[in-house]
Amino acid sequence: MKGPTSSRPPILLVEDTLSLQMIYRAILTGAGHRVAVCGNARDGLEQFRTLRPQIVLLDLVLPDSDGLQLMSAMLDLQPDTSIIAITANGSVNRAVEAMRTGAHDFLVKPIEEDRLLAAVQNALAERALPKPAVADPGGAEVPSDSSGFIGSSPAMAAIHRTIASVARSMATVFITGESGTGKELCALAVHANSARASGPFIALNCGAIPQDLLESEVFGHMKGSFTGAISDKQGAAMAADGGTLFLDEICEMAPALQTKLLRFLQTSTVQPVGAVRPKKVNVRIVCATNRDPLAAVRSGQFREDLYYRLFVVPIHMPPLRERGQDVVEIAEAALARFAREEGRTFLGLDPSVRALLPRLPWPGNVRQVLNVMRNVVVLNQGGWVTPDILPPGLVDLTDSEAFAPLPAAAPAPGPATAEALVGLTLAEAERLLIEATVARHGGSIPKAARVLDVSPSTLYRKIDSWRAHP
Amino acid sequence: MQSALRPNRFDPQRLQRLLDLIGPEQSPGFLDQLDRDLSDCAQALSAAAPGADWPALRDTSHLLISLAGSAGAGALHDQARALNRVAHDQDGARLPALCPALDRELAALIAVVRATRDHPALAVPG
Repeated sequence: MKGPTSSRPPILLVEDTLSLQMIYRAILTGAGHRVAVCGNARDGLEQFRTLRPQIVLLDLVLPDSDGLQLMSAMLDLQPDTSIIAITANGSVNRAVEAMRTGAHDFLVKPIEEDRLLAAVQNALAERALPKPAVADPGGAEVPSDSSGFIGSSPAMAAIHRTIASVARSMATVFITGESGTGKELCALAVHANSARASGPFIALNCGAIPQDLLESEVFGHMKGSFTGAISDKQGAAMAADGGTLFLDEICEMAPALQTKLLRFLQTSTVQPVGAVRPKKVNVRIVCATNRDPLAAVRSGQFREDLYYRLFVVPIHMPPLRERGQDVVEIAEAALARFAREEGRTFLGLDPSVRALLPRLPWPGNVRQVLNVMRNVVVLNQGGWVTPDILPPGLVDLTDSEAFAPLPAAAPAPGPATAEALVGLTLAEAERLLIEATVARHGGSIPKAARVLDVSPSTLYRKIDSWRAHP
Repeated sequence: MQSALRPNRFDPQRLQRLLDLIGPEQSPGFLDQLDRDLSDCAQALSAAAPGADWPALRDTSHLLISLAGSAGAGALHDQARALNRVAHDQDGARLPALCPALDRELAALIAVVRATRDHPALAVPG
């Protein structure tokens, strides 16, 4: 990017290999940036003290010191410095460590010219954004809202600490966890604590959108670019400009689109379907999956390079059964909220229920607790929540079977022949197949999902929609 | 330039792009420096491989990943990545099979860099 840079301090480049130093400097100066260079940690710190740069490009492997130590020293001196860590392919763990230490972004060697310039441009753009109104890591240990992102267990306290420390960087956050553990709420918390909190938060479920429409949903399209494109459409990536793009169920994304997403991450540009030129956007990516992303890489379903690009700061949302008393806090918050919504007066959880809830397996996690409390509130007038008003079967649930019974809206199909399905719409046939598979597996959504080769959350979502529109 | 010395999966446009970025005045100095950095890697590998000096192999392969990738030497880049993995895993069984091919690719890249430096009127040999 050409532009007036004389009013800004130079970018400080700390790289010990001279030929690489020359390459990076040439790229940056060619784009109009002023650059100061040095080849070791001692000179780097000295120049940092003198120049007070806003942006530092820092090789993590230096001859006289560990790059992470230098980074910490720089951030101690000037906490709002945007440090872009440089590491080699194969040392991605170091990059993750750097992001946790406070790096703004990281680059993997060999560095592409456009990726280097995009990282610097993003850092400059980020600095221009207003600071967040609330970012209190100390107070983040016990969230007090009733959104479901509740819990004072050590596991959740660690997650809040991670969110507080990474939210202000550009680091891509990769959230894993079973269905119903609150991955989207975690993504929202990252956004809300970031410098882009006043920008948009755009969520896109890659598993819920037909693959042939997904590219258009992510990157947009131009009028007339394909049949049915009757007007220009802004994609999610463009809509999230200045904010956060949350890509849920990222492992469900088709390989062709994974390539485009990788390109987007490398260049920070989007090219809507049918557009002639790419457009620059400034987006922070947060993604999530309920699968094991590394297993998806090993099975060839997910690109390895995209995995390493996205898996920068992993956050694992623990299942509810590993969160101790959190289930009681969540149930109480949900009870209060649903009672208010339904106009009922509940006194709280009876001690026997408070003792019971942490002992249950909760295969549906927080989502299941919310369903149970909604059931209790809707079917009862008020008073204390005692074991006898809990949904039938809950107390007997001792394994990982899904709790919620399926509605008996559709008859179980007979022998699976294609002929028997003729006359049904595709949606009806899909519903029959899903319900039959769930029934075959004793009501277990996770088991049915494995057989159908989709994520459990895909099934939960479809079943929810059938309940809403029987 | 003899074809036997040409690196496998070499993308001459990448090196040419670097020279374009650096400019004609600085290019000879850059090629000198690239030659020195690559030659240092070659020496370090020769010293470290026989005794399986894992920290040295790790550091050198780390550097070689960057240099080879930047210069457009695809095969050398991949071999350096493989060596880096072997060094991290301290996998002595895989080391002997990797080194000869990597040495050949590295020598070929050094030859390309020198040829480009010594014959600046010619384009980067592809």
